[in-house]
Amino acid sequence: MQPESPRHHIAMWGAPGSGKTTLLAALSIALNRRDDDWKIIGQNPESTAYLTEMTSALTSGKEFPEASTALETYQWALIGPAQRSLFRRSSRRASTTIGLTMVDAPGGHFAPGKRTGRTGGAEERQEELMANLTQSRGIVFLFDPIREFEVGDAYDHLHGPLNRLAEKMLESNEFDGGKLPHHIAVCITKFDDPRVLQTAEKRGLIELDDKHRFPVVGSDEARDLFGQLSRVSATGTADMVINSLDKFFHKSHIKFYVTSSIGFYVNPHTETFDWHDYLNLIPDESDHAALRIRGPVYPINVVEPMLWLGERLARTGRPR
Amino acid sequence: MTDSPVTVRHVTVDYEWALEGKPPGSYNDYEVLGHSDGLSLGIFDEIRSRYATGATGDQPQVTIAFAGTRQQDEGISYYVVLALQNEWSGHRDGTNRKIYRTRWYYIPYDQLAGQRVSYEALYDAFKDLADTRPPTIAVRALSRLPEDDELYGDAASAAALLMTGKHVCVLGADGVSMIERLRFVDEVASLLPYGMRTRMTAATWVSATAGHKIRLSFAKHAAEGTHVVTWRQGAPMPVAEPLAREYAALLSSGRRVPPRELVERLAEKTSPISFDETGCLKARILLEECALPAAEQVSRVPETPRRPDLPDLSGPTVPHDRPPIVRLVGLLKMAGQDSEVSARLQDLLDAVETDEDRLELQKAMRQHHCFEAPFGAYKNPEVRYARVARAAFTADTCRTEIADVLLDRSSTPKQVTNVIKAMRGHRPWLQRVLPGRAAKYVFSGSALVIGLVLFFFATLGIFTGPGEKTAAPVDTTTAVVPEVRQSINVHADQRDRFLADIYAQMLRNQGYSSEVREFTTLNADRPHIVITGSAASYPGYHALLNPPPIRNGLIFNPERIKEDQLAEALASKETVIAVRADFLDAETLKARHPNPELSIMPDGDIVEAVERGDVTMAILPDGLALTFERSGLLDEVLPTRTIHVLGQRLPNGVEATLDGVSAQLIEAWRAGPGQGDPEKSARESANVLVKPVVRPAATKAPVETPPAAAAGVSVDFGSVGLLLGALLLMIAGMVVLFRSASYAPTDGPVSRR
Repeated sequence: MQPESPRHHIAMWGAPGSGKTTLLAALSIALNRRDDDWKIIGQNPESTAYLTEMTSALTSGKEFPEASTALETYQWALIGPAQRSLFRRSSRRASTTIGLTMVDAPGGHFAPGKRTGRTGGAEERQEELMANLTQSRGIVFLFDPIREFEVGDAYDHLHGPLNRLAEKMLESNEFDGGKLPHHIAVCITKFDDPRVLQTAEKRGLIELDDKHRFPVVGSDEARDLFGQLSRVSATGTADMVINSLDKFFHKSHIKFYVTSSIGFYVNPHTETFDWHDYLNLIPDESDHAALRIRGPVYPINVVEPMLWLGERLARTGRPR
Repeated sequence: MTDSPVTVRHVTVDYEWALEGKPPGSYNDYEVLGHSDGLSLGIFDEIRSRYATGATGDQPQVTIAFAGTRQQDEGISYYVVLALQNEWSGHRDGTNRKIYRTRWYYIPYDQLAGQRVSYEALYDAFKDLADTRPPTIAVRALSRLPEDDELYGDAASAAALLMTGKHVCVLGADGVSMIERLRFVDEVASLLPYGMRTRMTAATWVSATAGHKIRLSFAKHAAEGTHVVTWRQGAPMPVAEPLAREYAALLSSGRRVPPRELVERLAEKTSPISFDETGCLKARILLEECALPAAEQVSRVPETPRRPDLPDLSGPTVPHDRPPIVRLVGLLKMAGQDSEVSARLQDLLDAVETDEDRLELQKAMRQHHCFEAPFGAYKNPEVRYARVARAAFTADTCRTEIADVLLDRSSTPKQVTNVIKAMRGHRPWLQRVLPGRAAKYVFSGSALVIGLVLFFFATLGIFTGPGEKTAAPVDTTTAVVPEVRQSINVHADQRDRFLADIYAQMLRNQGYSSEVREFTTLNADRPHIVITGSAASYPGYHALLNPPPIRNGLIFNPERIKEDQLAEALASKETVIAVRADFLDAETLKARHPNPELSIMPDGDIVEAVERGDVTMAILPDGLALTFERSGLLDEVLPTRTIHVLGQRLPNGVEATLDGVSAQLIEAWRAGPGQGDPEKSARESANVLVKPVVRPAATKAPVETPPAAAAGVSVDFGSVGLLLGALLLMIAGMVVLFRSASYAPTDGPVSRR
């Protein structure tokens, strides 16, 4: 299969531990949980192997994937439902295919450590990252509210690279109406953490889904939740994240999602969400320092950002 | 270094160390937690991130890398780097993930060289150290040698494939223990000159999806563009990789010494060698030498008149009390006036003294198209082409591969090809057949006789008029005519010539006629491709390729100059800055920093020049894997350059094909033409991307019969043409007969400087 053109490149962006790799690992499971025809397929053996191994690790091993230590590139295709043909004679119906080249870089690449400073290695890594970001037209930006509460460096991991990206796009005359041409899906991760869930609930942003009665936050409300969570930032800089996004991206190119890669625990008898027992990440009995995934994984809003980006990118690429 | 008292011989070595991991509960990435004082934190951090393999999990793995540091007045010190990975620390990070540690050990290469220390021996010595770190450690020397006649089978394939400069990945070893994989790495390394360990990188496992920089690796799947070796089955040698094939052949059929002797000899070749084109060529020469029986080695003479293009780097180095050729070449390239060209050319020619200098000059001629720039910009370039060619090609140095390349290349000035041919003793075929002046008399006599005969027939034709039988019957004639191919030209500036050549060849491979042209001949009504920095200037064109922008950065050797001295150096006339031939911002740089001297060199030479201190600093594109430091001092001065490849009126199939190979094309473009002939390299890259289509050589097409001559006008133009031809031939015969020779190539020795 031919590699996808740059307009289908989607880059993952976020601080270390914000859940980039886990979100990718949960993608296949999330698609399998849906009742539609969307599926994900590797475009080369190594990308297929990653999907298989990560799915197995999350479902059987109940473990989170290891953090990326190098810049990883996966080539996948999202295959969607077949389109109805207008011509009756046509015996085959064309399916919707969105090619994705996902780039997962270690979070530290976005903001080099203060201890080592800007060494030649850090420069090299940032350049590598920038090359990928300039090639991509879709970005999944992960905002980890727990890390923001503890460390408060989401803005550090966004601001620097965003400025460099803007500089490069400006140089190559690829600014579009004074903004970057990229679409960005802002994912507020770790929705399964009680601190995030309770914040959303207190603000009245929660709806319940039809199948398992899972709490979900709609896209419009997600932006509101982002604002609320920014207020408890350890450094008080998170509110600048949203301002930066608005300055650099077209409003119609930004969409907020509240996500969880492992989702909530589901009572196996009632098969519904229980407000009194929903933690899907619990202390491991055999190793009290560790946490383990308790039950089946029900990813929330993991596929949706990808489909939104994929569809938007496919649409912008179509005129050619 | 001392031998240990045990029966197995050991050497005691110093080492530096670093511990990579995370503090418990950390939310951050992996980092250097602690290190020895012998090297800076920056070096440890750079090496650990540069050689990240992406391999995670709790299976212990080993990565081999290298590092180089410059010691004051002692040249470069190399370290063989050993990384012991995936040791669980017993702690978890802030997101509940296990924290693994990697222990990095840096062993001075010069303490290992000549001792035949294997990677396995290093692993055995360091694997149990943990946090106890004695100042020195004993390492097993004299690694095992192959016993039977089978020279490591698949390891030989891997060693040969490393000569291609591309990564080699071993597949099918998932079930094999880590230590066995490490032994395989040792087997491969033992089939290379030991000096290549100064640049060797290998890993017992890598992530197949990681963009790693490991030369020899094991993985579940191989990344694109990687040579694959199947565990215990080896690999075929690619036809397009002659050096790898030669290396493989020398390891098997070309070898005339027992395997253990060959490995032993290769281990004695300890001069540092890199894996670039020059280094691999050097390795092949050393292997050839090691594969000969001892008696032949002593009295060995070159078997063919062809010489290697590069001098033997293992020999003692000559102290440089005169400017190096590469630097003078760089100065010549930067000359901006006719008088400067003359003066710098003279300096260059004066500096050419030895055959090594001539070979260096040949390399530069290949690299810079025989100095088309600057010679071509001024009057009478022919004289300069001839002068530089005579300096580079003597009777002893005219049979190099570079000479072959220049002869093959259509753009080589004929003054250069004439000199090469003359030095090789080539003569026109007639001179080869007939000795001395006989050829001259035979040629002139024949011309006069044939001219007279033709004159007679032409005169006859004019007076008799056109013959009636000459016209073919209408509508019955078909003839074989060459196929008329549609032309799609590529318009680009000279600076984008390499990329343009790739496109032109890809178009030719699809059956179109294609040439690279300047923008002056742009015809908007015909299909064409432009390579430009400004997409906005070509509205309505389709984007075929948007490569990532190129940014140049200031590179310096921290062992030679401190970062805080750079600003001062940029104001000094003593400063020499090395730049590549494709550096476009010389004027901008000169406007801001007029004093430093710019010297144009190939990539490889720049690295060596910075290492040796021949130049103060260098400007190179970002993203190259270098061990030097980068300064942002010139970032504002050196603009980032972005190019676009745009197509106009391209046939559908062409656009789809070119679009389909864009990702690989960007890789080929970023890799650049390397040290070889850029045109040839471009053609080779294009042939990999788009396979040439085989088309019939000619097609049948009806031929229109010429219209009947207008009534009353019966000029037979054929006869008139024949008459003129006859007259010219006779004149040529007369000229040759009475002209005295002004220049005759000789077979004898040519004077040498």
